Amino acid sequence: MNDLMTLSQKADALEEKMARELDYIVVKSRIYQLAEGDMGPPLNPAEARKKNPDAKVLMGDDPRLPAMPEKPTLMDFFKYRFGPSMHLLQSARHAVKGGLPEKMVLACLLHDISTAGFIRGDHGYWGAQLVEPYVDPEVTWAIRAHQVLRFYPDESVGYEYPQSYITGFGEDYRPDPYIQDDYKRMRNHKWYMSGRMITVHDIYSFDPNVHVELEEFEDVIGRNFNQPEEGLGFDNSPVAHMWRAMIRPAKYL
Amino acid sequence: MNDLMTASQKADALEDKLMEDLQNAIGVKSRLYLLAEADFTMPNGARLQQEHPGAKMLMSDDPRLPKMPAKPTLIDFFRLRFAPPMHLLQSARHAKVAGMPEHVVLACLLHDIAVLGFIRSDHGYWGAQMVEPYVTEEVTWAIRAHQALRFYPDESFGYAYPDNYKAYFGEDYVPEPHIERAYKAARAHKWYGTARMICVHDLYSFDPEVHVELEEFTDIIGRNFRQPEEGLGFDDSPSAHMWRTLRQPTKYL
Repeated sequence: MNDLMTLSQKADALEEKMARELDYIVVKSRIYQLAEGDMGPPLNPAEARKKNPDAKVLMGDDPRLPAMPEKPTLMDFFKYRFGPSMHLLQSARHAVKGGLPEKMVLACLLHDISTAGFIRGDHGYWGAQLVEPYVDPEVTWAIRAHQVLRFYPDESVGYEYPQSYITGFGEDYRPDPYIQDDYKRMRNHKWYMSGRMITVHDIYSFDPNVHVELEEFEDVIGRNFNQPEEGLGFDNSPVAHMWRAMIRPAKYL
Repeated sequence: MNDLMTASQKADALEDKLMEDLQNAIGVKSRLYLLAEADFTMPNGARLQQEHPGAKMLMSDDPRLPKMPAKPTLIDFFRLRFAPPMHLLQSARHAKVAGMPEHVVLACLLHDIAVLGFIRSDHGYWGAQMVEPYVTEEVTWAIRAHQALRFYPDESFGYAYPDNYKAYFGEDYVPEPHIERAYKAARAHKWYGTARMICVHDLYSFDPEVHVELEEFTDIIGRNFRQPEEGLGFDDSPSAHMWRTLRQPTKYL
Protein backbone atom coordinates (compact mmCIF):
# COMPACT_ATOMS: atom_id res chain seq x y z
CA MET A 1 0.00 0.00 0.00
CA ASN A 2 1.27 3.45 -0.70
CA ASP A 3 0.45 6.92 0.51
CA LEU A 4 -1.44 7.91 -2.60
CA MET A 5 -4.28 5.57 -1.78
CA THR A 6 -7.27 7.03 -0.02
CA LEU A 7 -8.51 5.42 3.16
CA SER A 8 -11.38 3.75 1.35
CA GLN A 9 -9.01 2.43 -1.34
CA LYS A 10 -6.89 1.02 1.44
CA ALA A 11 -9.92 -0.64 2.99
CA ASP A 12 -10.89 -2.09 -0.38
CA ALA A 13 -7.36 -3.37 -0.92
CA LEU A 14 -7.39 -5.02 2.49
CA GLU A 15 -10.74 -6.64 1.81
CA GLU A 16 -9.48 -7.90 -1.54
CA LYS A 17 -6.34 -9.25 0.04
CA MET A 18 -8.38 -11.02 2.68
CA ALA A 19 -10.73 -12.52 0.09
CA ARG A 20 -7.72 -13.81 -1.87
CA GLU A 21 -6.14 -15.31 1.20
CA LEU A 22 -9.28 -16.77 2.67
CA ASP A 23 -11.16 -17.70 -0.47
CA TYR A 24 -14.31 -16.75 1.30
CA ILE A 25 -15.98 -13.44 1.95
CA VAL A 26 -16.44 -12.10 5.45
CA VAL A 27 -19.20 -9.52 5.79
CA LYS A 28 -19.06 -7.69 9.10
CA SER A 29 -22.17 -7.68 11.24
CA ARG A 30 -23.68 -4.26 11.86
CA ILE A 31 -22.87 -4.21 15.55
CA TYR A 32 -19.19 -4.91 14.77
CA GLN A 33 -19.23 -2.03 12.28
CA LEU A 34 -20.96 0.32 14.71
CA ALA A 35 -18.35 -0.47 17.36
CA GLU A 36 -15.82 1.01 14.93
CA GLY A 37 -17.93 4.11 14.44
CA ASP A 38 -18.68 2.94 10.89
CA MET A 39 -22.18 3.94 9.75
CA GLY A 40 -21.55 2.94 6.13
CA PRO A 41 -23.41 0.21 4.26
CA PRO A 42 -22.15 -3.37 4.67
CA LEU A 43 -19.83 -5.02 2.18
CA ASN A 44 -21.85 -6.23 -0.80
CA PRO A 45 -20.83 -9.84 -1.53
CA ALA A 46 -21.97 -9.47 -5.16
CA GLU A 47 -19.35 -6.72 -5.60
CA ALA A 48 -16.68 -8.77 -3.85
CA ARG A 49 -17.47 -11.74 -6.07
CA LYS A 50 -16.86 -9.71 -9.23
CA LYS A 51 -13.18 -9.77 -8.30
CA ASN A 52 -13.15 -13.35 -7.09
CA PRO A 53 -16.12 -15.17 -8.68
CA ASP A 54 -15.41 -18.45 -6.89
CA ALA A 55 -15.42 -16.93 -3.43
CA LYS A 56 -18.28 -17.96 -1.16
CA VAL A 57 -19.61 -16.16 1.86
CA LEU A 58 -18.69 -17.77 5.16
CA MET A 59 -21.46 -20.17 6.24
CA GLY A 60 -19.48 -22.91 7.99
CA ASP A 61 -16.74 -22.97 10.59
CA ASP A 62 -14.31 -20.07 10.51
CA PRO A 63 -10.90 -21.57 9.68
CA ARG A 64 -9.19 -18.70 11.51
CA LEU A 65 -10.66 -19.78 14.88
CA PRO A 66 -9.91 -22.90 16.96
CA ALA A 67 -12.19 -25.78 15.99
CA MET A 68 -14.89 -26.57 18.55
CA PRO A 69 -16.28 -30.00 19.38
CA GLU A 70 -19.60 -30.94 17.81
CA LYS A 71 -21.33 -30.83 21.19
CA PRO A 72 -19.49 -28.09 23.03
CA THR A 73 -19.64 -27.75 26.78
CA LEU A 74 -19.26 -24.67 28.96
CA MET A 75 -15.64 -25.72 29.57
CA ASP A 76 -15.05 -25.83 25.79
CA PHE A 77 -16.22 -22.23 25.48
CA PHE A 78 -13.83 -21.23 28.26
CA LYS A 79 -11.00 -22.98 26.40
CA TYR A 80 -11.70 -22.13 22.77
CA ARG A 81 -13.59 -18.84 22.73
CA PHE A 82 -13.32 -16.82 25.93
CA GLY A 83 -10.43 -14.50 26.64
CA PRO A 84 -8.15 -15.14 29.62
CA SER A 85 -10.46 -16.00 32.50
CA MET A 86 -8.15 -15.59 35.49
CA HIS A 87 -10.35 -12.82 36.90
CA LEU A 88 -13.32 -15.21 37.00
CA LEU A 89 -11.27 -18.08 38.40
CA GLN A 90 -9.79 -15.90 41.15
CA SER A 91 -13.25 -14.58 42.04
CA ALA A 92 -14.69 -18.11 42.21
CA ARG A 93 -11.85 -19.34 44.43
CA HIS A 94 -12.35 -16.30 46.69
CA ALA A 95 -16.01 -17.30 46.99
CA VAL A 96 -15.06 -20.89 47.89
CA LYS A 97 -12.76 -19.61 50.63
CA GLY A 98 -15.51 -17.30 51.84
CA GLY A 99 -17.69 -20.39 52.37
CA LEU A 100 -20.36 -19.51 49.79
CA PRO A 101 -22.70 -22.31 48.67
CA GLU A 102 -21.83 -24.03 45.41
CA LYS A 103 -24.40 -22.28 43.28
CA MET A 104 -22.98 -18.93 44.36
CA VAL A 105 -19.46 -20.12 43.54
CA LEU A 106 -20.83 -20.88 40.08
CA ALA A 107 -22.39 -17.39 39.93
CA CYS A 108 -18.98 -15.88 40.74
CA LEU A 109 -17.32 -18.08 38.12
CA LEU A 110 -19.81 -16.97 35.46
CA HIS A 111 -20.55 -13.38 36.43
CA ASP A 112 -18.36 -11.82 33.73
CA ILE A 113 -18.62 -14.40 30.95
CA SER A 114 -20.11 -11.79 28.68
CA THR A 115 -17.01 -9.64 29.13
CA ALA A 116 -14.74 -12.65 28.63
CA GLY A 117 -16.54 -14.04 25.60
CA PHE A 118 -19.32 -11.88 24.23
CA ILE A 119 -20.35 -8.23 24.64
CA ARG A 120 -18.90 -5.84 27.23
CA GLY A 121 -21.59 -3.15 27.51
CA ASP A 122 -24.31 -4.23 29.99
CA HIS A 123 -22.37 -7.47 30.49
CA GLY A 124 -24.44 -8.53 33.52
CA TYR A 125 -27.67 -8.55 31.52
CA TRP A 126 -26.02 -10.35 28.60
CA GLY A 127 -24.32 -12.89 30.84
CA ALA A 128 -27.55 -13.67 32.69
CA GLN A 129 -29.37 -14.16 29.39
CA LEU A 130 -26.64 -16.52 28.13
CA VAL A 131 -26.86 -18.88 31.12
CA GLU A 132 -30.54 -18.59 32.06
CA PRO A 133 -31.70 -21.99 30.68
CA TYR A 134 -28.86 -23.83 32.38
CA VAL A 135 -28.63 -22.53 35.94
CA ASP A 136 -30.77 -21.94 39.02
CA PRO A 137 -32.98 -18.81 38.64
CA GLU A 138 -31.19 -17.29 41.64
CA VAL A 139 -27.87 -17.56 39.80
CA THR A 140 -29.31 -15.84 36.72
CA TRP A 141 -30.81 -13.13 38.86
CA ALA A 142 -27.56 -12.55 40.76
CA ILE A 143 -25.47 -12.30 37.59
CA ARG A 144 -27.88 -9.73 36.17
CA ALA A 145 -27.96 -7.80 39.46
CA HIS A 146 -24.20 -7.56 39.89
CA GLN A 147 -24.15 -5.28 36.82
CA VAL A 148 -26.05 -2.74 38.87
CA LEU A 149 -25.03 -3.44 42.47
CA ARG A 150 -21.30 -3.01 41.82
CA PHE A 151 -21.90 0.75 41.47
CA TYR A 152 -23.44 1.03 44.94
CA PRO A 153 -21.59 0.46 48.22
CA ASP A 154 -23.03 -1.67 51.01
CA GLU A 155 -21.21 -1.19 54.29
CA SER A 156 -23.07 -4.04 55.97
CA VAL A 157 -20.93 -6.49 53.97
CA GLY A 158 -17.88 -4.26 53.58
CA TYR A 159 -18.44 -3.51 49.89
CA GLU A 160 -17.09 -0.13 48.78
CA TYR A 161 -17.30 1.63 45.45
CA PRO A 162 -14.33 0.17 43.51
CA GLN A 163 -11.23 2.34 43.29
CA SER A 164 -10.71 1.08 39.74
CA TYR A 165 -14.04 2.63 38.72
CA ILE A 166 -12.91 6.04 39.97
CA THR A 167 -9.79 5.67 37.85
CA GLY A 168 -11.62 4.08 34.92
CA PHE A 169 -14.74 6.20 34.67
CA GLY A 170 -13.80 9.41 36.51
CA GLU A 171 -14.67 10.88 39.92
CA ASP A 172 -17.86 12.39 38.57
CA TYR A 173 -19.23 9.27 36.87
CA ARG A 174 -22.89 8.59 37.67
CA PRO A 175 -24.62 5.36 36.60
CA ASP A 176 -27.25 5.78 33.87
CA PRO A 177 -30.86 6.28 35.01
CA TYR A 178 -31.89 2.72 34.03
CA ILE A 179 -29.15 1.42 36.35
CA GLN A 180 -30.46 3.63 39.17
CA ASP A 181 -34.00 2.33 38.59
CA ASP A 182 -32.80 -1.27 38.58
CA TYR A 183 -30.82 -0.67 41.76
CA LYS A 184 -33.97 0.41 43.60
CA ARG A 185 -35.80 -2.69 42.41
CA MET A 186 -32.92 -5.04 43.21
CA ARG A 187 -32.18 -3.58 46.64
CA ASN A 188 -35.56 -4.85 47.82
CA HIS A 189 -35.46 -8.25 46.16
CA LYS A 190 -35.33 -11.46 48.17
CA TRP A 191 -32.15 -12.48 46.35
CA TYR A 192 -30.45 -9.09 46.86
CA MET A 193 -27.67 -10.62 48.97
CA SER A 194 -26.83 -13.20 46.27
CA GLY A 195 -26.27 -10.44 43.73
CA ARG A 196 -24.33 -8.52 46.37
CA MET A 197 -22.09 -11.53 47.14
CA ILE A 198 -20.87 -11.51 43.53
CA THR A 199 -19.66 -7.94 44.02
CA VAL A 200 -18.03 -8.86 47.35
CA HIS A 201 -16.01 -11.65 45.71
CA ASP A 202 -15.40 -9.74 42.49
CA ILE A 203 -11.64 -9.31 42.64
CA TYR A 204 -11.19 -5.93 40.99
CA SER A 205 -7.52 -5.89 41.81
CA PHE A 206 -6.50 -8.90 39.82
CA ASP A 207 -3.46 -10.66 41.34
CA PRO A 208 -0.97 -11.65 38.60
CA ASN A 209 0.78 -14.06 40.98
CA VAL A 210 -2.20 -16.25 41.74
CA HIS A 211 -2.83 -18.96 39.20
CA VAL A 212 -6.10 -20.90 39.27
CA GLU A 213 -7.05 -23.68 36.87
CA LEU A 214 -10.56 -24.03 35.48
CA GLU A 215 -10.39 -27.73 36.44
CA GLU A 216 -10.69 -26.67 40.08
CA PHE A 217 -14.35 -25.93 39.33
CA GLU A 218 -15.16 -28.86 37.09
CA ASP A 219 -17.30 -30.53 39.74
CA VAL A 220 -19.06 -27.30 40.73
CA ILE A 221 -19.94 -26.79 37.05
CA GLY A 222 -20.98 -30.44 36.70
CA ARG A 223 -23.36 -30.23 39.64
CA ASN A 224 -24.76 -26.74 39.01
CA PHE A 225 -24.72 -26.06 35.28
CA ASN A 226 -27.23 -28.13 33.29
CA GLN A 227 -25.01 -28.84 30.33
CA PRO A 228 -27.35 -29.75 27.43
CA GLU A 229 -26.72 -33.16 25.95
CA GLU A 230 -26.78 -31.78 22.37
CA GLY A 231 -24.08 -29.24 23.23
CA LEU A 232 -24.41 -25.52 23.99
CA GLY A 233 -25.86 -23.93 20.87
CA PHE A 234 -27.70 -27.00 19.62
CA ASP A 235 -30.32 -27.66 22.29
CA ASN A 236 -33.02 -25.45 20.80
CA SER A 237 -33.07 -23.33 23.97
CA PRO A 238 -34.14 -19.66 23.73
CA VAL A 239 -30.46 -18.65 23.82
CA ALA A 240 -28.91 -21.40 21.68
CA HIS A 241 -28.24 -18.94 18.84
CA MET A 242 -26.22 -16.74 21.20
CA TRP A 243 -23.77 -19.58 21.83
CA ARG A 244 -23.72 -20.37 18.12
CA ALA A 245 -22.75 -16.74 17.44
CA MET A 246 -19.64 -17.31 19.58
CA ILE A 247 -18.86 -20.52 17.70
CA ARG A 248 -19.18 -18.74 14.32
CA PRO A 249 -19.05 -14.98 14.92
CA ALA A 250 -18.50 -14.10 11.25
CA LYS A 251 -21.14 -16.40 9.74
CA TYR A 252 -22.92 -14.69 6.87
CA LEU A 253 -26.55 -15.39 7.78
CA MET B 1 0.64 7.34 7.95
CA ASN B 2 3.64 6.65 5.77
CA ASP B 3 5.57 3.58 4.78
CA LEU B 4 8.47 4.30 7.10
CA MET B 5 6.35 3.64 10.17
CA THR B 6 6.69 0.27 11.79
CA ALA B 7 3.60 -1.85 12.42
CA SER B 8 3.60 -0.86 16.08
CA GLN B 9 3.94 2.85 15.23
CA LYS B 10 0.99 2.44 12.91
CA ALA B 11 -1.00 0.76 15.66
CA ASP B 12 -0.15 3.64 18.03
CA ALA B 13 -1.15 6.20 15.42
CA LEU B 14 -4.46 4.41 14.89
CA GLU B 15 -5.04 4.29 18.63
CA ASP B 16 -4.36 8.04 18.92
CA LYS B 17 -6.75 8.74 16.07
CA LEU B 18 -9.40 6.59 17.76
CA MET B 19 -9.00 8.50 21.04
CA GLU B 20 -9.32 11.77 19.19
CA ASP B 21 -12.52 10.55 17.53
CA LEU B 22 -13.83 9.41 20.91
CA GLN B 23 -13.01 12.82 22.43
CA ASN B 24 -10.28 11.47 24.68
CA ALA B 25 -12.12 8.39 25.85
CA ILE B 26 -10.78 4.85 25.50
CA GLY B 27 -13.00 2.53 23.49
CA VAL B 28 -12.33 -1.18 23.34
CA LYS B 29 -13.95 -3.84 21.21
CA SER B 30 -16.00 -6.62 22.77
CA ARG B 31 -14.68 -10.17 22.52
CA LEU B 32 -17.32 -11.19 19.98
CA TYR B 33 -16.38 -8.33 17.63
CA LEU B 34 -12.71 -9.30 17.93
CA LEU B 35 -13.42 -13.00 17.37
CA ALA B 36 -15.18 -12.07 14.13
CA GLU B 37 -11.82 -10.68 12.99
CA ALA B 38 -9.93 -13.68 14.39
CA ASP B 39 -8.26 -11.28 16.82
CA PHE B 40 -7.45 -13.08 20.07
CA THR B 41 -6.05 -10.12 21.94
CA MET B 42 -7.84 -9.07 25.10
CA PRO B 43 -7.89 -5.31 25.68
CA ASN B 44 -6.68 -4.33 29.14
CA GLY B 45 -8.36 -1.16 30.41
CA ALA B 46 -5.86 -0.53 33.21
CA ARG B 47 -2.91 -0.77 30.85
CA LEU B 48 -4.56 1.46 28.26
CA GLN B 49 -5.17 4.05 30.95
CA GLN B 50 -1.54 3.96 32.02
CA GLU B 51 -0.56 4.64 28.43
CA HIS B 52 -3.03 7.52 28.19
CA PRO B 53 -3.03 9.32 31.53
CA GLY B 54 -6.25 11.19 32.22
CA ALA B 55 -8.31 9.33 29.62
CA LYS B 56 -11.41 7.49 30.84
CA MET B 57 -13.02 4.31 29.56
CA LEU B 58 -16.00 4.96 27.27
CA MET B 59 -19.13 4.54 29.41
CA SER B 60 -21.54 6.82 27.57
CA ASP B 61 -22.58 7.66 24.01
CA ASP B 62 -20.05 7.00 21.26
CA PRO B 63 -19.34 10.43 19.72
CA ARG B 64 -18.63 8.80 16.34
CA LEU B 65 -22.26 7.63 16.06
CA PRO B 66 -25.39 9.72 15.48
CA LYS B 67 -26.95 10.89 18.73
CA MET B 68 -30.11 9.03 19.72
CA PRO B 69 -33.14 10.51 21.51
CA ALA B 70 -33.58 9.76 25.22
CA LYS B 71 -36.60 7.56 24.50
CA PRO B 72 -35.84 6.01 21.13
CA THR B 73 -38.51 4.39 18.99
CA LEU B 74 -38.19 1.60 16.46
CA ILE B 75 -38.15 4.24 13.73
CA ASP B 76 -35.25 6.01 15.47
CA PHE B 77 -33.24 2.78 15.34
CA PHE B 78 -34.02 2.44 11.63
CA ARG B 79 -32.77 5.96 11.03
CA LEU B 80 -29.84 6.25 13.43
CA ARG B 81 -28.37 2.75 13.71
CA PHE B 82 -29.53 0.31 11.04
CA ALA B 83 -27.87 -0.12 7.63
CA PRO B 84 -29.91 1.03 4.61
CA PRO B 85 -33.26 -0.81 4.96
CA MET B 86 -34.43 -0.82 1.32
CA HIS B 87 -34.54 -4.64 1.28
CA LEU B 88 -36.97 -4.65 4.21
CA LEU B 89 -39.03 -1.79 2.83
CA GLN B 90 -39.37 -3.47 -0.57
CA SER B 91 -40.32 -6.77 1.09
CA ALA B 92 -42.95 -5.08 3.25
CA ARG B 93 -44.44 -3.24 0.29
CA HIS B 94 -44.51 -6.49 -1.67
CA ALA B 95 -46.49 -8.08 1.17
CA LYS B 96 -48.85 -5.11 1.36
CA VAL B 97 -49.51 -5.07 -2.37
CA ALA B 98 -50.30 -8.79 -2.21
CA GLY B 99 -52.99 -8.01 0.37
CA MET B 100 -51.30 -9.55 3.40
CA PRO B 101 -52.78 -8.69 6.81
CA GLU B 102 -51.00 -5.98 8.77
CA HIS B 103 -49.17 -8.30 11.17
CA VAL B 104 -47.62 -10.14 8.22
CA VAL B 105 -46.56 -6.83 6.65
CA LEU B 106 -44.90 -5.95 9.97
CA ALA B 107 -43.18 -9.35 10.09
CA CYS B 108 -41.83 -8.73 6.57
CA LEU B 109 -40.69 -5.24 7.59
CA LEU B 110 -38.81 -6.63 10.59
CA HIS B 111 -37.67 -10.06 9.42
CA ASP B 112 -34.04 -9.05 8.76
CA ILE B 113 -33.51 -6.39 11.41
CA ALA B 114 -30.71 -8.45 12.95
CA VAL B 115 -28.88 -8.34 9.60
CA LEU B 116 -29.43 -4.61 9.27
CA GLY B 117 -28.80 -3.74 12.85
CA PHE B 118 -27.17 -6.43 14.91
CA ILE B 119 -25.62 -9.85 14.23
CA ARG B 120 -25.88 -11.58 10.85
CA SER B 121 -25.31 -15.15 11.99
CA ASP B 122 -28.64 -16.83 12.82
CA HIS B 123 -30.32 -13.49 12.17
CA GLY B 124 -33.85 -14.89 12.38
CA TYR B 125 -33.30 -16.00 15.97
CA TRP B 126 -31.67 -12.70 16.94
CA GLY B 127 -34.35 -10.60 15.27
CA ALA B 128 -37.14 -12.56 16.97
CA GLN B 129 -35.46 -12.17 20.37
CA MET B 130 -35.11 -8.40 19.92
CA VAL B 131 -38.76 -7.77 19.03
CA GLU B 132 -40.43 -10.46 21.16
CA PRO B 133 -41.69 -8.13 23.94
CA TYR B 134 -43.26 -5.73 21.43
CA VAL B 135 -45.10 -7.82 18.83
CA THR B 136 -47.54 -10.72 18.80
CA GLU B 137 -46.26 -14.23 19.43
CA GLU B 138 -47.11 -15.09 15.86
CA VAL B 139 -44.86 -12.34 14.46
CA THR B 140 -41.97 -13.38 16.72
CA TRP B 141 -42.45 -17.01 15.74
CA ALA B 142 -42.56 -16.20 12.03
CA ILE B 143 -39.38 -14.08 12.15
CA ARG B 144 -37.55 -16.87 13.98
CA ALA B 145 -38.85 -19.57 11.63
CA HIS B 146 -37.97 -17.74 8.39
CA GLN B 147 -34.30 -18.39 9.28
CA ALA B 148 -34.83 -22.11 8.60
CA LEU B 149 -37.66 -22.02 6.05
CA ARG B 150 -35.81 -19.91 3.48
CA PHE B 151 -33.52 -22.92 2.81
CA TYR B 152 -36.44 -25.17 1.88
CA PRO B 153 -38.64 -24.74 -1.19
CA ASP B 154 -42.41 -25.02 -0.95
CA GLU B 155 -44.06 -25.27 -4.35
CA SER B 156 -47.54 -24.84 -2.92
CA PHE B 157 -46.54 -21.27 -2.06
CA GLY B 158 -44.42 -20.79 -5.19
CA TYR B 159 -41.28 -20.53 -3.11
CA ALA B 160 -38.12 -21.92 -4.74
CA TYR B 161 -34.64 -22.21 -3.23
CA PRO B 162 -33.05 -18.77 -3.85
CA ASP B 163 -30.63 -18.60 -6.78
CA ASN B 164 -28.25 -16.32 -4.97
CA TYR B 165 -27.85 -18.88 -2.18
CA LYS B 166 -26.45 -21.29 -4.77
CA ALA B 167 -24.00 -18.64 -5.89
CA TYR B 168 -23.09 -17.39 -2.40
CA PHE B 169 -23.01 -20.64 -0.42
CA GLY B 170 -22.11 -23.08 -3.22
CA GLU B 171 -24.24 -25.64 -5.08
CA ASP B 172 -23.38 -28.25 -2.48
CA TYR B 173 -24.37 -26.23 0.58
CA VAL B 174 -26.53 -28.20 2.98
CA PRO B 175 -28.13 -26.45 5.99
CA GLU B 176 -26.80 -27.54 9.36
CA PRO B 177 -28.58 -30.27 11.37
CA HIS B 178 -30.08 -27.79 13.85
CA ILE B 179 -31.62 -25.86 10.93
CA GLU B 180 -32.96 -29.11 9.48
CA ARG B 181 -34.58 -29.91 12.84
CA ALA B 182 -36.00 -26.39 13.11
CA TYR B 183 -37.44 -26.76 9.60
CA LYS B 184 -39.21 -30.00 10.46
CA ALA B 185 -40.69 -28.49 13.62
CA ALA B 186 -41.79 -25.33 11.80
CA ARG B 187 -43.31 -27.30 8.91
CA ALA B 188 -45.78 -28.89 11.33
CA HIS B 189 -46.58 -25.69 13.26
CA LYS B 190 -49.94 -23.91 13.08
CA TRP B 191 -48.18 -20.65 12.07
CA TYR B 192 -46.15 -22.26 9.29
CA GLY B 193 -48.01 -20.27 6.64
CA THR B 194 -47.18 -16.95 8.30
CA ALA B 195 -43.44 -17.65 8.36
CA ARG B 196 -43.58 -19.00 4.82
CA MET B 197 -45.12 -15.69 3.74
CA ILE B 198 -41.98 -13.91 4.95
CA CYS B 199 -39.96 -16.07 2.53
CA VAL B 200 -42.45 -15.51 -0.29
CA HIS B 201 -42.18 -11.73 0.07
CA ASP B 202 -38.44 -11.76 0.83
CA LEU B 203 -37.08 -9.99 -2.24
CA TYR B 204 -33.72 -11.64 -2.72
CA SER B 205 -33.27 -9.81 -5.98
CA PHE B 206 -33.24 -6.32 -4.61
CA ASP B 207 -34.50 -3.78 -7.16
CA PRO B 208 -32.29 -0.64 -7.20
CA GLU B 209 -34.99 1.27 -9.12
CA VAL B 210 -37.71 0.94 -6.49
CA HIS B 211 -37.56 3.45 -3.68
CA VAL B 212 -39.76 3.00 -0.62
CA GLU B 213 -39.90 5.34 2.36
CA LEU B 214 -40.16 4.04 5.92
CA GLU B 215 -43.04 6.51 6.43
CA GLU B 216 -45.21 4.25 4.28
CA PHE B 217 -45.30 1.92 7.31
CA THR B 218 -45.56 4.40 10.17
CA ASP B 219 -49.19 3.47 10.83
CA ILE B 220 -48.62 -0.27 10.56
CA ILE B 221 -45.79 0.05 13.08
CA GLY B 222 -47.97 2.22 15.31
CA ARG B 223 -50.80 -0.31 15.35
CA ASN B 224 -48.69 -3.49 15.56
CA PHE B 225 -45.47 -2.69 17.41
CA ARG B 226 -45.97 -1.84 21.09
CA GLN B 227 -43.44 0.96 21.37
CA PRO B 228 -42.53 1.19 25.10
CA GLU B 229 -43.20 4.58 26.63
CA GLU B 230 -39.71 4.69 28.25
CA GLY B 231 -38.06 4.10 24.88
CA LEU B 232 -36.56 0.91 23.44
CA GLY B 233 -33.75 -0.08 25.78
CA PHE B 234 -35.20 1.53 28.89
CA ASP B 235 -38.37 -0.43 29.55
CA ASP B 236 -36.81 -3.21 31.66
CA SER B 237 -37.93 -5.81 29.11
CA PRO B 238 -35.96 -9.05 28.62
CA SER B 239 -34.43 -7.59 25.45
CA ALA B 240 -33.86 -4.01 26.66
CA HIS B 241 -30.08 -4.50 26.95
CA MET B 242 -29.94 -5.66 23.33
CA TRP B 243 -31.31 -2.31 22.16
CA ARG B 244 -28.98 -0.49 24.55
CA THR B 245 -26.01 -2.30 23.00
CA LEU B 246 -27.11 -0.98 19.62
CA ARG B 247 -27.25 2.48 21.10
CA GLN B 248 -23.80 2.23 22.74
CA PRO B 249 -21.91 -0.64 21.05
CA THR B 250 -18.54 0.25 22.60
CA LYS B 251 -19.66 0.84 26.17
CA TYR B 252 -16.88 -0.49 28.38
CA LEU B 253 -18.99 -2.45 30.88
